[in-house]
Formats: sequence, structure tokens, C-alpha cells
Amino acid sequence: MITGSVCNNCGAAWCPAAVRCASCGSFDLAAKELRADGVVRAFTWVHSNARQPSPWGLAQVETDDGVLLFGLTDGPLGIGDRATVGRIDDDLPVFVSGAGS
Amino acid sequence: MRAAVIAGAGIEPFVGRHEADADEMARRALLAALEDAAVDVGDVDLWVFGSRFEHPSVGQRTLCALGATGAPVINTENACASGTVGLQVAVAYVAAGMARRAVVVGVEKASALGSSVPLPDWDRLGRAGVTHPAKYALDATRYLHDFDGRAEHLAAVSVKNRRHAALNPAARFRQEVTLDEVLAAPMVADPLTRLQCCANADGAAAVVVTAADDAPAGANPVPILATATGSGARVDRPLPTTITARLAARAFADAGVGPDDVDVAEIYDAFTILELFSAESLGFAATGTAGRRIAAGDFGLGSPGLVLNPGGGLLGRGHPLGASGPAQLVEIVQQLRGEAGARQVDGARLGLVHTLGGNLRELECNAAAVIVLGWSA
Repeated sequence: MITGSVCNNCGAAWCPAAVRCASCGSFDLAAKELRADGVVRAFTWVHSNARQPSPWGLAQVETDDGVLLFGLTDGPLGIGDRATVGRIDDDLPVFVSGAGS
Repeated sequence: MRAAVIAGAGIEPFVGRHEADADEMARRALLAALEDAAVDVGDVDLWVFGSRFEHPSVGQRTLCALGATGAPVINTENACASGTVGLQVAVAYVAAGMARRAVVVGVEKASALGSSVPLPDWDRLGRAGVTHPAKYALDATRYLHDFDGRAEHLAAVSVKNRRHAALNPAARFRQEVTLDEVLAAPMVADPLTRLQCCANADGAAAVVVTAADDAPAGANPVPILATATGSGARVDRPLPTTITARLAARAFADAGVGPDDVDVAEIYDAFTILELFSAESLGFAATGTAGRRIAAGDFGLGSPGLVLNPGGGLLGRGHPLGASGPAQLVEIVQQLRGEAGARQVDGARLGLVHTLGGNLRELECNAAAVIVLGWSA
């Protein structure tokens, strides 16, 4: 569902995918489907008519693979809570509260 | 390498919508800087222009009407740090003996962008309607969470900087605001209200760079003690803090000073949360304390010690992207010369400019610059 890359040398994960690992400098990376579950790092309500209904939720979630994802939400999320990617909307993850199945 | 100075500074006041086009605004700023430096336009042998959204070759178009042709023109784009990064280019040319009279110009007619700067179309966040303040609001919520902060700690930044801007004839916003007004302003993205987000503006600013031992007769030069620029790292926590700390360490080492020595600083405050990040990563406040200190009255005009953003910052001056960095330089030059009028920081001898630029999603920022100016002893 969420694709990125993982360094075969040091194990660091990157999303979007990287060509060279920013941690160890290796070019030996492989594409990988990343885990959709993680912990909410931050959440905000955006008061903008760019999406409806307004306000709409925006969150950062650190996945269990160690990458930080921006995404939309259907409701409020608490910092430190578990969240998972419920679906993809406008090419962005939409997070929902709780762990995935 | 030769030591460099800013020999002249000029600014075309920032407004919401300027009657002149970008080229004319730039000409007014650069001619003011040249007059301040007592340098003739025909003696300039390097031009560096910084802008984010202006047309290609903005420098050549600006200079054509002045008949100032033939010298190298370098047009730089590094988002909001375009002009400040341009200063390092000028310093490098002068220090290497490749230029004798260099002019750095920042210009932007940002009113053409509307009420806010859009994220680029190729950024899927931008396509989904996500804006710059929304991204920084995420960082603000995390900051308040981590450091048990309150919305008032963020709002106090806007109150301080608008108070300073009210004293600055070159600022777009000349009216003070209260804490209640900042908190009650329309919400953009929790917890950032409209008065906590910089507004686009039109304007231009310029500085003249020469060698310290070749400053023009009649100029009042301010030494450039250090310039440090860099691009953001790809990090797992995309906050513009590690690059600022890295550049500050380099600039302070090169200048032979530390953060406690600085009297006055113009630091990046496009959103209130960014002034807190900037102050803390520059070493002016311990991590997690800047908001409380500003709310308690620290860092404001009239308070003892370091003053932050005496010219009003981006929040008070307005933000014509490429011009904001040179405007920061103009403010610090005026402060160090004792020419800042009602917003003068008494006895200012050492100043600092800090600019961030850009918001690529995977990077802490696109570009950053830390400049140390003045006298270390």
C-alpha cells in the first residue's frame, strides 16, 4: 500500500524511495512495501477550503518501519496514539485510529 | 582571503501591493544601497539577485534600464533564503579578489501569489490542498506537546514582532496587536492563527559588499565576520533545527564568538513556531524554553539582553520571499550603525542574520544561512 525503499546495508527505510541511503551512503537499496501501522507524531485541523468539509485533519505518523508519513485523517488523532493507513485518497494516506488488521 | 564588509544598505519598503513592478522595486533598493555606500552604479563588478518566483534573469532585466551591463549577474533561487545565500556568493567573490564592488539584491512581488505561498504542483501534499502553515502547524502541535507549552507561547512571538514592526517604516504591518487578538484571529491550522503566519508582501532590499581594506571613502562599513550556508539534510524528523545548529556552530567558530555575545538578531519567523525553533537551535534559548521566555518579555525591545527581530521579522515586515533575507541584513546593518531610530537596540555591536528557505517534504529545509556581522570585541 505504501511503497518505499530499504537499505540492504544498514536497514534504514525511506519513503519516498531513495536512490542512495542518507544514513550510510550505500546505493544498495531495494523497493519495499512499508508497514501501514505506526504512532502519531503530530496532528492538526486545517481550516482551508482546499478540501471539504473544512476543517480537515492532517497528521504525521511514524510507521513501525521507521519512516515518517504525512497523511489526511477522517477524525482527530492523539499524539502518541496508534494509527494505521485506512485508504489512499488523492495519492495520500488517510490515517485512522488504532492498529491495522 | 580578504575580509569583507557591508558598505551600504538600502530597502524599498514592504507593502501589501506595490504600484511598481519587481524590476523597479529592485532598482530603488539597489540605488539606495549604492548611495549609502558612496559607490557609483558603473563601478559595480558583480551583481547577485535573489528571488523565488520572479521571472528568469530578473537581474539583467532590472539592470538593463540602468545601463549597468557587462558585469557578471548571478540570479539565485533558494526559496526564502535566496537573497541571504546570495550574500555568501558576493562575499566569496570579494574575498577571492574576483570582485571589488558587489551588490546583493533581493526582490519579490509576492502579492501576485495571493494570500499564501502555494506548495508546488509536483508535491502530492500540495495537490491535496496541504499548505505551508498546515505543515508547520504539525510541528507546533508536537512542540507544545513535548514541552508542555501553551498557545500563548506561540502567540507572544507575533505580539513582539508586530510591536517592533510598528517602529519600522519599511514594514508592511505598522499596528501592534494584542495577545487576545492573535489568539482570536481566524484559525489557519491549529494552533496557528492568521496572525501567526507571515503575509506575502511586495518589496526589495540590497546591500553592497566590498573588501574591508577597500571600503569606499564616505561609507560606514559593517564587518562580515562569518557566513555559513547549507542545504537541509534528509532526516527522519524534518524540522529545520539541525541545519540551523550546524550552520550556527560553523559561523560562530569562524567569527570567534558565541550566541551569548550576540546583541541583536534577525531570525526566521515565517510562522511563530519557527522563531522558537530558530532561537533554540541558534543557541539563544534552551530547547523548549523560547516560547515561555518571549511570553515573559525576553528578546523584545526594551528588555535586557539579546533582541530578536527588532525590524519586525517576517511576521511584522511582511514576506516578499527573495527580499526578506536582504531586509534582515539591512536591519542588522542599521542596528550596528546605530541608525535604527525608535527600534534601536542600545549599544548593539554584534548582530546575526538567520534565514531558512524551502520546505521540500523529505528535507529539514531546502537552504539556510547564518551570517554574523559587527565587532566581536
